[in-house]
Amino acid sequence: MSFAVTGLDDLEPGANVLVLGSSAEGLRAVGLRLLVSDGGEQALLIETATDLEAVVEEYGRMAGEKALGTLSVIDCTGREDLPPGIDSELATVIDSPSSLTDLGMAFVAYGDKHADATESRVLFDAVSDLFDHLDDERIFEFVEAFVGRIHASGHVGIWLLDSDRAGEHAVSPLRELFEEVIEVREGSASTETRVGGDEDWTPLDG
Amino acid sequence: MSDSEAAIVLIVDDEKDVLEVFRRWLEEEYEVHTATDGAEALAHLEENDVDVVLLDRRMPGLTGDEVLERINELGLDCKVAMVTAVEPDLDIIQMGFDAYVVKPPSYEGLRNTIEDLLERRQYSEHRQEYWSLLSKRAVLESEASATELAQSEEYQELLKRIEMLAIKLGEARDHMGDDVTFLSTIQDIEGG
Repeated sequence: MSFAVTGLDDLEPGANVLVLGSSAEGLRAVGLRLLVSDGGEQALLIETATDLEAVVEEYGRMAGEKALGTLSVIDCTGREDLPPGIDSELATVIDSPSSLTDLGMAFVAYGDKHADATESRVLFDAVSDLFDHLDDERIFEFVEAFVGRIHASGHVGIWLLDSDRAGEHAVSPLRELFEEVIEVREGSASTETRVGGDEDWTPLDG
Repeated sequence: MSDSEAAIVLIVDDEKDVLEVFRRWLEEEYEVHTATDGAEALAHLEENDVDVVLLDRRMPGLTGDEVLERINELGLDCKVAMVTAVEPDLDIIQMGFDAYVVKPPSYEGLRNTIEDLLERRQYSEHRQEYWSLLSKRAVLESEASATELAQSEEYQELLKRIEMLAIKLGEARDHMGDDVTFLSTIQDIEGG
């Protein structure tokens, strides 16, 4: 699978990428860009905060209405109504991101539903939200197991982490669980990224 | 369980013939204990450091499901494989077992299940240790200079151990492709 972020090479199925920074907007822009498929892969959005409408709208704008209609969603905020354009058959709602087992079950069900298309892109928006509900160790262990599941299933996992909300000492262990780390910051003119410890930042165009 | 000692496997079944077959299959490799009903199994578990329980689901008196519930309530540190007549629906993973074995199991099937559960036990210990060492590294790196770290034997040992654990955890990742393994792992993490 290929990805529209400068410096990020094609990823093998099973890879997990951490998108790290302190700009929530920038993280989401990069995460959505990675979620948009260029090769017809399935896409799954796991949303842990309450702004599913805004995220879905942005995805629709970037990927088109047709792609929006095939987007699978796991909402972890117990919402009652789904945003327009989302196929309710492809959406699962669970009460809280701290209901880890329910989240795991929903992810297994997603895999069963798309068993014929093993490769898909999974956006976890966002690990940082878990810090409102769970302690650092629990979050690390959960991400480790979930990253393993994505690895074994041959998906590509895209994980957003707001470093300000997680705290420096929680970020450092989490980084170790990922094949690639994309750092994100707000530059003077636009959102900028750098991959794999590069020195130079590149603007995220368009 | 230390490396040199055999793992303890408790077989719980009301049918004595089944107990005997399982015992004969397993006793060469594991320390095999048996119980013929749920109450006996629970009493045994509270007194012994059991690694794996093979728990028959359908028994007179306390059923396997009820024994499992007690095991989880008591927070006993053992892995449980339910032995069932039919393949269970995935929803009942919420009950908190770690694997299931469909009756009648083959020798290979039973042995693989036990080995898998022992491996997973070790895997969760490694995962916890990995986190605690990475956290320790983060603290050291924020407090000491690069020169100090380069000269610190403790830090070098820490890096070696972290690297070793990363390899072991990487090898275990493929197991997460199995639904029951993945879900029971997540459930253990949620339960703390």
